[in-house]
Amino acid sequence: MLNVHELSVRIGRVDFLKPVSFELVAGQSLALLGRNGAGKSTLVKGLAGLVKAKGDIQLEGVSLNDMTQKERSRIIGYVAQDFSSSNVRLSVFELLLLTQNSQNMQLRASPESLVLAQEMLNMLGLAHLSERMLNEMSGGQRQMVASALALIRKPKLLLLDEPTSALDLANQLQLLQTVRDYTQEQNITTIMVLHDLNLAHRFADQTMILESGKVSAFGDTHEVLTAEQIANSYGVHCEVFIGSDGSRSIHPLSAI
Amino acid sequence: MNTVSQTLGQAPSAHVYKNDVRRKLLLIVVFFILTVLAVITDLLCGSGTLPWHVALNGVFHPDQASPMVHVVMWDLRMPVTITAVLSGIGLAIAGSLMQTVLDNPLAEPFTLGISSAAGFGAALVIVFQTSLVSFLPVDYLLTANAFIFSLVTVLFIGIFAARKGLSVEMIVMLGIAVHFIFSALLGLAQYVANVDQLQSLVFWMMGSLQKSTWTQVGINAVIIVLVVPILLLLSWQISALRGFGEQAQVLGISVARLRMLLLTFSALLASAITATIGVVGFIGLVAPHVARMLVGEDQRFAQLMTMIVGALIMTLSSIVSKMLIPGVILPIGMVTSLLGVPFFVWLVFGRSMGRR
Repeated sequence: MLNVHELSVRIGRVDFLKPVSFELVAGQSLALLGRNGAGKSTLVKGLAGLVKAKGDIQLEGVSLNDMTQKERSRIIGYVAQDFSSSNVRLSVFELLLLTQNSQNMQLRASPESLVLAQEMLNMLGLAHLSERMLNEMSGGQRQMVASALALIRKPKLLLLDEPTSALDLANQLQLLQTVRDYTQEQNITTIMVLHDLNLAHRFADQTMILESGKVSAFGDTHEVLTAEQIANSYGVHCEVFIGSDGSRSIHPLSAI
Repeated sequence: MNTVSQTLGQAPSAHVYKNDVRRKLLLIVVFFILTVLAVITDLLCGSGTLPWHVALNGVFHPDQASPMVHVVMWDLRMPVTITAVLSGIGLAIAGSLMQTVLDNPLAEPFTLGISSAAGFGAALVIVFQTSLVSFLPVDYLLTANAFIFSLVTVLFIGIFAARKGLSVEMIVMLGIAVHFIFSALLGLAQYVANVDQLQSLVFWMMGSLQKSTWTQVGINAVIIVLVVPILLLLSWQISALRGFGEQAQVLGISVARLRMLLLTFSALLASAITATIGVVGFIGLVAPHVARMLVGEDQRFAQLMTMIVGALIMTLSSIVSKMLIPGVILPIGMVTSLLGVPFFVWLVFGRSMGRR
């Protein structure tokens, strides 16, 4: 269970995130939606400890505020929005070892890290990219690698900031399905910033919409993503279709 | 997820990786052997006419050597050669650390003004006969003053930049400011210096191995022996900092603290070596690039290779400095720059053509 109480972020004189409180059950995924500059990335960075935040975050009853960055890093997996701009000349396999051995004070990589790296490559269908250098890969391939780097650390809280923005349709579905399966199987909590409302409908149990650093809607995804709420939050008219199997799809019509 | 046994049974990526590790270790051994050969060659080369077998005998059997050979080999050539190796290691690793801290492949140990600060420290002694450590013996005044000025300068930059979270921009801006201040002060010292003082100062700024003493060898050796093992133990963290920048925090790394530590180590190494031999450029820029081209970015291998390549280039430069004009030993800083410039141009052009 993730319990966030009055989390806020102030940088200089600007409130990037006004106090936000919510709870999320383990095994569930939360889609974080909202217009550009609404505070989605700030909320995720606040949870990851990458920006100074006020308020309390409890994961499985333990307050993250009482943890050092090192302790926090053991339970949080984070994929940055701008990871695809990294130009480092390390192979995918080396990166997978690096994320697991970053606290290792021995020169040799741990044997388990070699096994896990191979498992993660197979799980995300990235084995063919194993020896490729990050700076020789496309934006989409880098984004898949970034998610692999977060998953391999077996986090209890997985934070993905726009993990699918550079992915083709097939990889969007594969990545989010893998994340959803992983979240349920490992009983972890996942929060992902998305812009595609249909992906949110399909892969998120809960949805939160932020507006100007404040929560404007939060709840079960199918209850939050209504035509009225989308019109209020995004200023876009749309239709929500419900299929015979109960699945929903959103068709944007026009800007208000 | 696959079971461990399934994965071990079909682990081509891990297999390829292990082969790659073996290739890198082999390259490190090969370059180490090349460096040892260069060191022996450097010991055998000199401005005098000592036959090579006599020189070699003087090294391996000092008790059997004549007093003259003993003095030439152990008091003149040996400190110079060992200083070449130590300064090559130190400058190369200092450059590599500066490139990591500033996240800039064109950074080098002197980017933050260490050379001009050390130069001004030397100028105070040479031109104004004054020093922050005037209680020391006269022989050590210049070295100690240059060391203190350069080290304090970088630590000042680090401490002030730390107030703003030790961001790269803040470090670079303070470095540029410090560089211009000390360059102006150094220019002033040169302007008021008499001919002899100016000649001494310019010669010191060019960099030379010839004034190396066993005491200076000892000081540099101690600093390298203290710093290098720590850097090797931090290899994974340094790789993470190079790979992920600020986001390395997510891996539990205190990015600001690591940057400050690496900046301090870089300053310590570069200051000690610059104080000993003067300003020697390009090793700190070139050696890390050569090392990364040979063994990649993984700092477990890259740091070792950087040190070996630095020692190799410096020793080769020392040989060239003695051989280029018979009977004349050229300032080492001039030779490393002459050897380094073509590589630097290639690096810049290669980069602009997207080959890096």
